[in-house]
Amino acid sequence: MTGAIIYLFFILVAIFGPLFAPYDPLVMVKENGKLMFNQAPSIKHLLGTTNMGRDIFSQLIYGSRPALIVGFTAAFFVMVIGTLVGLFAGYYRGRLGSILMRLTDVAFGIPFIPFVMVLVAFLGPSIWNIVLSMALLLWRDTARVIRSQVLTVRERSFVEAARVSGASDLRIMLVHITPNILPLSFLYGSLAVGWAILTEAAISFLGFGDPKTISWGYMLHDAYVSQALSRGSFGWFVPPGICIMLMVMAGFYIGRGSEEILFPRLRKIN
Amino acid sequence: MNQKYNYFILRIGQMLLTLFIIITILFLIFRLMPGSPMAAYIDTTFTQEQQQILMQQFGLDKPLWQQYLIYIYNLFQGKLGDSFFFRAPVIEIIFKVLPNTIYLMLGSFILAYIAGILGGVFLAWKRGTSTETVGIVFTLFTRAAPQFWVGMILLALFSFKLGWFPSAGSSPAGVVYSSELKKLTSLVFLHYLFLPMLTLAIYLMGLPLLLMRTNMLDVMGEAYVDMARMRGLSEKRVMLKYVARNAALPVVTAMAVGIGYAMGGNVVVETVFSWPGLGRILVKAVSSSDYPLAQGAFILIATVMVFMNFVADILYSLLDPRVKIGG
Amino acid sequence: MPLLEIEDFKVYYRTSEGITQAVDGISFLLGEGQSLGLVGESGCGKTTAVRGIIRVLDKNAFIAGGKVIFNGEDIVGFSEDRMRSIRWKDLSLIPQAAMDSLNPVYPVVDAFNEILLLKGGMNLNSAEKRAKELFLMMGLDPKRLHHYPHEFSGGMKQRAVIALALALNPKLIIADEPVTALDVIVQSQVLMEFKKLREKLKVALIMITHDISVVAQTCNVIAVMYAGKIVEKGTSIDILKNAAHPYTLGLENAFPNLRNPNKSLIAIEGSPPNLVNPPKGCRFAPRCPFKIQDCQQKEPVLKEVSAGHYSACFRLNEIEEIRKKAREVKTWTTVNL
Repeated sequence: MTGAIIYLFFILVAIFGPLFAPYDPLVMVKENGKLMFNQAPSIKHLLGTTNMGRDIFSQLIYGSRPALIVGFTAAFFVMVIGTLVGLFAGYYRGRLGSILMRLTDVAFGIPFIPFVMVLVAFLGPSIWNIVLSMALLLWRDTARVIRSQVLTVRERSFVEAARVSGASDLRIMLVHITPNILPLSFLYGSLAVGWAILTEAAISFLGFGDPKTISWGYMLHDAYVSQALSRGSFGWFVPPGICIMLMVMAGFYIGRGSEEILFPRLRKIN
Repeated sequence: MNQKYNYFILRIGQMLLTLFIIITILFLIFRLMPGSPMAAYIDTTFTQEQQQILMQQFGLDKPLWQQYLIYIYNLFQGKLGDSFFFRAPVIEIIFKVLPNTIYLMLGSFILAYIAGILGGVFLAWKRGTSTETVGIVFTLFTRAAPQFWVGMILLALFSFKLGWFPSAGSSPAGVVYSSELKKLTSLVFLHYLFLPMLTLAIYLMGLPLLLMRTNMLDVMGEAYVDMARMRGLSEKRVMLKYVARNAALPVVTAMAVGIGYAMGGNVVVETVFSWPGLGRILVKAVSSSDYPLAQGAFILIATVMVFMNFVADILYSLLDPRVKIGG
Repeated sequence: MPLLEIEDFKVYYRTSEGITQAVDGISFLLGEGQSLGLVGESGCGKTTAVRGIIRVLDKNAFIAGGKVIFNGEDIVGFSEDRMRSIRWKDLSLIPQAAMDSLNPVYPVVDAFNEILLLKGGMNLNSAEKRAKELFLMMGLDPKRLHHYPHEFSGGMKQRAVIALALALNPKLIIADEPVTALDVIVQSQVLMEFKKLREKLKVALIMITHDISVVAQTCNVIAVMYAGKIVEKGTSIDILKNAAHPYTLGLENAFPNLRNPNKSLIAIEGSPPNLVNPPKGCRFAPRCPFKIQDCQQKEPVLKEVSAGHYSACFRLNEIEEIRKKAREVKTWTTVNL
């Protein structure tokens, strides 16, 4: 599948890329004692250099690491938290269920990027703080969808049968319901990879990113504040965006995520 | 009709409760962040006297739960403190920029939804052709590309390179409008609004488009569409009154989801285009540690969002005769 | 002159496996005010046939031949526009799943207004009157006209759709399994309505069903279809009392008989043939307990059994024997498939 290929590609780049990258992304390249800043793309610098003389192409390669780390870690948390909340909210329809639903509603009510922004600004611009802040809210879509699914599954006859035969709640949830919701879980997990990468990019772009890690978002921030736009240095700010886009699309395609995207189901009537 | 009324009241209640919880969370974040609690309201450059006044006003020397009550009380009165940076009441600042954000949001929403619905109908019509495949991939691009990046490209291309559009702000320097309406309808303003609006719309368009397409395909197979053809109604009538009308309903619900994305998007898009709206103010406030302003902007953004969700909900329940309470 | 004359009508489907000959040359006549019951198991082509008559077919279906002479004109040759103009005005079709046949976001009265204004040349006032009239005719409360479809029960929806089918006084109504999804009580109510309609309004009716007892009540002529062909046709009395085809005999066995409640129900073993490559010879032969050599070589044509009663079987001369044997269980359970 296309998605898997793209992921594989980036994973390989992340692992082996730095070995092949022509330069260290943070090094300010000098030639004949002159700082090579804002160079146009050339053989030596495939995408040119930044205004501080750093090689853009190398940065692009190195950027795949934080993208993958952020993407997969955040997605993992989102999947776990979202599934657990959705599972319990859907199964326990009484007080616990209501409370969890309220919690999800509140999570939906909080504007995402502003929240992450504020949190990261306070906790400090490290990549883990970004992941943490995202994990605090990003589970909400997954929870809602999983809950709907659980509500349907729990009405199925095999669950009824298990209950009647005296199985404990925990057992029912684990053994009977979970296998039926895992596919949906993974699906949203793979979507979350994309969301996480986009969010990290946005946060970095706004200037709250981790300055020690060159992420694609950070590159875009760098380009923007160095007036790369007005200079028309397309080689600087176009490629990082393309990479982000590809990674996110891979997330869409993988795990048949394309189905949820292409055939989104919102409110169920009746 | 009574049912609808009750649902309405229920939703208002839920909305207020959610807002309340958000405000509380915000209070905790700003109070518990690293640094002294006073830093949230008192800039070190204030004089001792000023600091004293603020301490009193916000009860910063009292226990946390009392501070909370004072906070809520102040909030209702619109007392959000003074901005460190602007040296003016936060409430004034945020309400001054609010309209700009609203215009941007509404403009891009409307554009996105019209384009999205039409696009969805188009793609459904072209089912099974290569146009459909290309169309879908392109739509996925719009959902996968970072909004600010799209904005950057548009800016670089149409503003800096081609010079067709201004590159920052909402108006040329020094321009004053005699009224809000004048501003909204002035070509100059719209000229400035266009690129940011387009950027946001490109991103937002994806959801209604794909949703509309899905629904059209679903509905086209429904018995009542078949029956409409059986009655010898024209294809145009069948498409519009039977297919599109039914397919459009869930798209309205999508607005509730879309708004969530829009509010996040606002922040970055406003920054790219230096659009003087709530999002940009928030970014500025947070970067300069202007806590009262940051808090105020955040609260207002959350409020607008929750309110919009509520409106979308109500709209949906009005349009679909089958919706029961609770949704 | 008969109201409807179908001659060697063929409707095929293009599928990934080839061309399915769903309706492969059927012919029958229907006079004004007459009612025809089209009987056969699922998949035999009944629905395709009638949808072919009114020409509302799936994208991959097409009319492969034959004539459909309605009111003296062959409508197979009509343009889509012309077909559209006669739909609902001269003939209407109540599809299966009529329950979901109404636009859910408009009140029921809208469907009536729409058709009466657009095609009946009425204005809102007269349309409203007519709609009320139709509802009353079907035993529905006219106040309900302003309700939404989801507020109607299944039986009520069915009756509403029938009322709608009558709106423009068509000469022919085709009803596809109109009572299958209803409970017995509502079923008999609806069938009563149909009977009244025919008697009062002289509307011709084609009713599709797989339930032979339903046709017994409502139809004067019956055509039995199997695998895209008509295997037997005649008056109801002929078919029900003196069935002259093994398949028809088999069908009757599968339904309980009030007069003989202890009779055991016998199923016809096997399943209908694949119509992409129909078998050579008689299509029922593989499942027929009475097949002979000829049956699998040549295709039988409809031969007259008695006045107006036709059957497509090679062993018509032994029909009495066959009828007797068909009543025994072991005849059907020992079929060499």
